[in-house]
Amino acid sequence: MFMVRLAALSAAFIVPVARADSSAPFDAGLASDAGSPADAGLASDAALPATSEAGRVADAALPAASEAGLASPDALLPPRVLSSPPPVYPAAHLQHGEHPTVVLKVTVLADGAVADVSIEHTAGPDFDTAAITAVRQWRFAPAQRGTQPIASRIGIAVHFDLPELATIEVGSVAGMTPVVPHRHEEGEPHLSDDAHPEQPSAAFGATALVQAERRAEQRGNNDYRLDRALLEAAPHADAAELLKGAPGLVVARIEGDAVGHRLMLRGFDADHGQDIELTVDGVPVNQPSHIHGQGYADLGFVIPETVRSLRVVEGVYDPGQGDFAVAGSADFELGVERRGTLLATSYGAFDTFRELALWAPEGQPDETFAAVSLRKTRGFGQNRAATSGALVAQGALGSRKLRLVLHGSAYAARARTANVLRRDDIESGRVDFYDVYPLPTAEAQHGTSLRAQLGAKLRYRSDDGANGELSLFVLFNDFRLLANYTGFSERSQIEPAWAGRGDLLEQLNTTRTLGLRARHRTARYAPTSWAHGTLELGLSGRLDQIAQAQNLVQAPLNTTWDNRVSADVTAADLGLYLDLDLSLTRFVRLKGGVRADLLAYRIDDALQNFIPNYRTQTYLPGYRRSASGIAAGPRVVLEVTPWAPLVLSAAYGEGYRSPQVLLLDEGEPAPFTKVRSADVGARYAVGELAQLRASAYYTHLGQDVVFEPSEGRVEPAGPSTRLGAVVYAELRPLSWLRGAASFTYVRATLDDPPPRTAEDPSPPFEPGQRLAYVPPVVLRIDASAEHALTELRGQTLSGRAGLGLTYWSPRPLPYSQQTAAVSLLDATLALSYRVFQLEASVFNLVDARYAAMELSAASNWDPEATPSRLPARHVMAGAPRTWLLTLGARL
Amino acid sequence: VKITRTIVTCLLLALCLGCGETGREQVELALSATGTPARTLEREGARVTLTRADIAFGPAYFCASYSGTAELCSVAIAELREVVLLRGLDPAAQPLGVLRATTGTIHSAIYDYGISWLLTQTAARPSSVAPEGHSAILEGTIERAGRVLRFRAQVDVQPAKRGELSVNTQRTEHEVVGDGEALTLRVDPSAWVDRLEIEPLFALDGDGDGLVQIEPGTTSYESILQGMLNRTPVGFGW
Repeated sequence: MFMVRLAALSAAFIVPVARADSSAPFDAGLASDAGSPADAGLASDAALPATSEAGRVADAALPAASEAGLASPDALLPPRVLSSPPPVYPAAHLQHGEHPTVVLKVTVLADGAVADVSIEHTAGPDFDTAAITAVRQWRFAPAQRGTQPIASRIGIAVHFDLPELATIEVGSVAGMTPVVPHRHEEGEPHLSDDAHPEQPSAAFGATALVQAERRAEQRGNNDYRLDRALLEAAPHADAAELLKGAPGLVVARIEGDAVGHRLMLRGFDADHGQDIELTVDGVPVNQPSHIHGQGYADLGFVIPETVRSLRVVEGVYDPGQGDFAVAGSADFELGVERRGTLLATSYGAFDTFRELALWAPEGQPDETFAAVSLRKTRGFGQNRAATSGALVAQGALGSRKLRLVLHGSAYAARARTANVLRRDDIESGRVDFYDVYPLPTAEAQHGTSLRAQLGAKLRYRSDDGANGELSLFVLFNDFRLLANYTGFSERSQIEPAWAGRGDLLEQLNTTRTLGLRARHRTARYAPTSWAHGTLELGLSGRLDQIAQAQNLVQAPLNTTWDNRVSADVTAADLGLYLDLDLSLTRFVRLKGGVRADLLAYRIDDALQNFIPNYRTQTYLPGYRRSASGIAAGPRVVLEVTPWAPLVLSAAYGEGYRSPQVLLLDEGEPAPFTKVRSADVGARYAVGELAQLRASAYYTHLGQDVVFEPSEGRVEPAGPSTRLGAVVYAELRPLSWLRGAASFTYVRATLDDPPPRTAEDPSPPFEPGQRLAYVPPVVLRIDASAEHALTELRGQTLSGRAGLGLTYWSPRPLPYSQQTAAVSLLDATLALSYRVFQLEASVFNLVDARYAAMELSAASNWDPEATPSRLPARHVMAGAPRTWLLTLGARL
Repeated sequence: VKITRTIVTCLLLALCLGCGETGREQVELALSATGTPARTLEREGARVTLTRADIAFGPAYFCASYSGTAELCSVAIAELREVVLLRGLDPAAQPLGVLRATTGTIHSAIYDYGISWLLTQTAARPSSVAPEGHSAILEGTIERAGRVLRFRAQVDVQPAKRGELSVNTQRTEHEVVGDGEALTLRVDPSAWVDRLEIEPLFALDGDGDGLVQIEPGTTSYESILQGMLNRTPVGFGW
């Protein structure tokens, strides 16, 4: 949410007008008129307030001008704005809270069109571009000498403000009244409301609609918005890898292309999303109570080229954050800024093909586009072939006051996976690091993912700045994974004589979701001159019907030899929140409120109370139960600005994570895990050159979970605590060079793991031990440079280079083990000429051999050998050096 | 320079804090065995003396659970995956390598006598280390009224079920705290033959060559089995 204001207009009239419709004569006229005595008007600038309100004030203050203008047939009348599409606030700067002013000088031709835009006062390339792009679309009623339309040269100050919403509709800008001409001298600063606070200014609620209706940004110091430029700095194999740019976020794909990425953030092993709320344009991606992991999220359906920006909030400080926002949340904003048609084909290592077709019709909002992506690869190493396809189409309809965005997407993927290898088997040479065990039960491992989404989002905004949105969505997710984590260690529970057939777990999960989200933010309320604010009321609701099963199957015929889970679940999450955004003087700002969610579950667990065949059957298997509870807590951010570039912040929030419902008992009153999170920090902006942030944080999670290989899913591990710090810098030393770097440290410990039980007499975790698998230190550097290289046949050949460096410190493993540190360098080089673009990307440039994930568990991968029952290290290989060449054409 | 030093110090401190305690540790324990010198047992007016006791031991798992069934010992504290050969009558220490372990408390043990029935096998099979393919070879003499009868028992101790171990729970208490510890296996084979039925054995010596084979299914054979499994199984000296 923010506001763009037209601070002031000034105009110089150009005569003679006969040449005004031609750019060349016009320029000549403009130049020659500069000192012409005939140009009485030219010597005058007209300050043109952009609103009717402004106009009224101007009229009152300067009646003579109007009268003079009407009185004489040769009187000069300044141009009037008829249409003024507002500029888009550059997404990359949203997080920094900037409110700069760009002063432009433009020529308004005799036909009212805009030409010859130049920058009088820059606010940096992004803001300059945004202002120029917008103003070039403006239409004017031309200046007049008497009744004769003439070209004119005017100054326009475009002020970008955060975070408030527009208060005046664009259409109301039209109808300005001429005021006393005021000559604008070259180099003279233009008026702005900063310079003349008494001057009413026009507020453009329209800006770009998407941005205009964003909620209050910058929740604490660890609220990051990565725009397209930063996202494109390093190559990304898929949309989920865009998350790598967020400080401390570890992203790895370990179970093949049809299974979601494994994520870690701020010391949380988020597995496949259990601790990070992932949304795409506000629509949730996490699936509650998924068989493969609570909060399972697969971002494979997102086509990376359609991601306009990415917002990552680390911590739980926004009342809008819902289920799974434990370590934080990430929202992918879809939109295509570069309009037109893009066709791209890629070929790379391991016979990887990718075809992309992206259509973004000119003249339509960024939100209107359609894209299709198809991919096929043999995969690195053995048993990693994959095919996938994604399709997305969405369109924006309606006016700026009331806009409807319709979305439809579908995704399908099937991929084989090599899954785990024992490290001792690799060291002994039994298998290669990138191999799969030469066993049917290992070679049969694969995953399948199907997804479809339909959604509609209605946004509205009233003249007084109140705004809101209502979105409805329907989701279908289907998941099937065959994975073996332990080799040959399982025995059938249904028929105990069946054993040793390979622990190939088949996990099935189908989720049908119906959901809605709605919010309304009030108009700005200012009870005093030093206090103002807005209040938002929001709600969210989703109903999930989940059918899930887990079986043991025997490869290669996939005969089922045990049933472990067979359950139908109905889950509801109804959330309500209040969010206050209150400014107390220009030094203090308070954002936050309270959120409460009702969680309710009904479970039909067909295999619970299973009767072993050695026990007399006195009842029938099955366990039907229900549970509900309310998760409520505050979220608040206090920001103090002692002087403009420096913002100090402190934040506290309480979030929740819904349960793995199969673990619930009948009537369990609090079926959720609570997280308490606190941050303190500071951020400092060195103009356009740098944005610096540093913060320290503390989180406490009521019930952590860890991956249990024998079950192929996460299991409770007790409460945990994290203490950490983040340093983040975003740099732009040159207009064509940009970079970001982050350093995250965390100490994550398990406070009170579950005690030993008869079933688990030797739990792997002890109180106070380091949380396994999570790297204490994460370093990330993104850098990109883009520049025109040369002219070829009158066309510019431009180049772009980018890199992304990731460092994970050694990760603690159970049993006093730790992994090696991982350093990964990705790089890309691209050339653009006319409509063509050639891009070469290399992932893992130094060809580091690394385990993307390690597990510690007992396993037996040699059916002929006496099994080990000691926990052993298992690795899931990360990809070796991989190159990809892409040829694209923009039509 | 001062700022750089401060930053480097902070980074090193942070990296150190990033390391540290990660729970239980993996350790190795020295493994050896000692036998018990043959002693002469008086039974039914006869003197029974072992002259040979070769015993296959392993695999063995030392469990955190009090009941060491395979299901409750899917993750062990210590293990010996190999099968080792014990000279049961040799009181000298017999080095057997190492026992791999994690720190933790052991409450029970499960083990085989050289014949295992893995989950992946359709039948129990002897280890190649097992003496002549058996769990134990026991040889000795029985003297009665001036007559000396030599006996030989080829004992096969087999798991009752697929995936189980022959000795399915044997209590033993020990807390593994780190490297440098040792486990000594102690066997007393003479105790396994203290319930031989003398008369039937002499009756078996039909050809009068003074050598009898104690066959499976006989009372004497079963008494040896009971001795190995229940009465005086392998002892663990921590």
